[in-house]
Amino acid sequence: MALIEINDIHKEYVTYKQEKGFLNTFKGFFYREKQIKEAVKGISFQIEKGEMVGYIGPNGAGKSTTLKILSGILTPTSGEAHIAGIVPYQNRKQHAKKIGVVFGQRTQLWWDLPVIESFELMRYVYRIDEKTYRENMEIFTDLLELDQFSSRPVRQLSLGQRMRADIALSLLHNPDILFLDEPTIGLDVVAKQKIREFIKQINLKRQVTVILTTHDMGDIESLCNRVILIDDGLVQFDGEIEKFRHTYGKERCLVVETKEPEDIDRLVLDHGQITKREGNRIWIHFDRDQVSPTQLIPHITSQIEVVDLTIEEPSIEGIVSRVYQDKTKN
Amino acid sequence: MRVYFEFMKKAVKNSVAYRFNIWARMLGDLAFIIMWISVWAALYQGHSDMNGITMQNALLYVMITQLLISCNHAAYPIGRMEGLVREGRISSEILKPYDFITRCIAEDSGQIFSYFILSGFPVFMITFQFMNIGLPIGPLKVLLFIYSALCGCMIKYFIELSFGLLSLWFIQTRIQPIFSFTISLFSGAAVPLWFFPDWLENIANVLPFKGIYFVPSAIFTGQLQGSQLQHELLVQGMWVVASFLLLRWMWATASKRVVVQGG
Repeated sequence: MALIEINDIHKEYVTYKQEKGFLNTFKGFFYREKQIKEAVKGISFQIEKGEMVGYIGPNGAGKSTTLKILSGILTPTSGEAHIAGIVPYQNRKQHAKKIGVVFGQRTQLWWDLPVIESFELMRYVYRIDEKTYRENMEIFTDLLELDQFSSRPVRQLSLGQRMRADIALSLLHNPDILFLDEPTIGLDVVAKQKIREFIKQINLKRQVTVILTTHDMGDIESLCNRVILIDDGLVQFDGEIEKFRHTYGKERCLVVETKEPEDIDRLVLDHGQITKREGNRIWIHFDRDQVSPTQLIPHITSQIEVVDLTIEEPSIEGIVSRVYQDKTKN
Repeated sequence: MRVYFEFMKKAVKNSVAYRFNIWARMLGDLAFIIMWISVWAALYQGHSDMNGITMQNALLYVMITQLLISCNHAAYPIGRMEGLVREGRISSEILKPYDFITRCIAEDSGQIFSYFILSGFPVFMITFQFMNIGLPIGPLKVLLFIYSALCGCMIKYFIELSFGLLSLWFIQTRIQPIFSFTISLFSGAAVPLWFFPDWLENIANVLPFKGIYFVPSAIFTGQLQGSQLQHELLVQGMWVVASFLLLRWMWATASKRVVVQGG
């Protein structure tokens, strides 16, 4: 059995319609129209121990709802979830000892106290023995340089330091699973790198299963071997990152540098499109299924004199943004 | 149990994190005591007693009530709950392997304790010395007073936290103003129940709030005695149990239906 198994999860929220207009505000006081919003419409997947899974999708796709169900905060309307044999929302406390949760936009640290105080407190909350505590603190010091700011009050930390402390705190009790909700939001490049490196190390050393939602595809590329794309409450894609690239990233870009800028005007293409032009360089986007580069390149070189050629692979970022956009168009 | 004790310790540390805050509190406590002493001294002008209550008793009542108010206000459970719900932090609370209610009680009693030591008690002692009013009760009554004051503190806290939990149903409640007014009227925080008209006193007698300030302060001033004292302590104890059961029931219901705000 896989470590995490969820089966046909649905979640409905009941909201009340708020009508515009002065009189309607008063009407709403006595009578409100009920609206049922289905945030998750039947999600199933399995995750094995030690996997690092990127859970992506546009805002409002149902990511956080799924994470909340997995962590035991929300009970699904229907469907089942089993994590290491436990139903998270039925055995919250038991489940809570085995997971670590970080919501990037909220902190679990005590705002006015030195960082180390929050760690001391969690030691008692999770009943962590002296030895484990010391070992873990050593690791955090090694990998996250926690000692540099552990005696400072949390309110004085930079966002990057605070995030490092928050992630370390969520790992203090040696959880099997780590849920990260946008762990690098708002961080600078160096801080992002540090956090990614740390998550990678923890996953390698301890076989911690990581489920990560993010809008930064750099996180996905440097951490995850698997992506689950969810949109409109349903799983749209589930598989290895290479397969993801392959499925959605059919478009390639050929960058051509000509000898004379005027040559470009003469160029006629049967496939692909010129999407950008800069001096004597042009960017041609083409669909890999319709035309292969080996056909396209001779077609161009037969018409104009080419100085340099490069083919650009699509970035995950680019692919994802196109997938999201296609969704909103539909 | 250890974890709750640690929460209490953290709360003590947290409340002394801003030193200015402590000074501001002391000044505030002092200002309120002086204000109420002046009000009652003015009301008593030319009278040695009203409704059988001497001016000395009234002043002592005001001073001890202010000490209790200062302690009780050190914890703000409604605000805590509203904050936790509004910022969505309630979700990580639910995920912790401790009892949320006990943790709130532990943390807030730490805060109450530190404000009692750092502000309420010294301010009371200063004014008590300065006013030069003798203590009208013996050591046994002092112990009864402390017991009754602690019960009052629990009644207020349990009811307030229960109300705070309502913010899990109605995300923006703003129930605080109505609630504080009800409490401050019927608890005897502003005016002792001795001076209530009969109909208002009858209402106050069936509500739990008089156990918060009026009963302990009346014990302290030596006004409550004999069988009446026993009766009041019994009623107060019953309200402690009742409000605790209310809180437990509210939390059991509330935690089942937590819907965390924000996508």
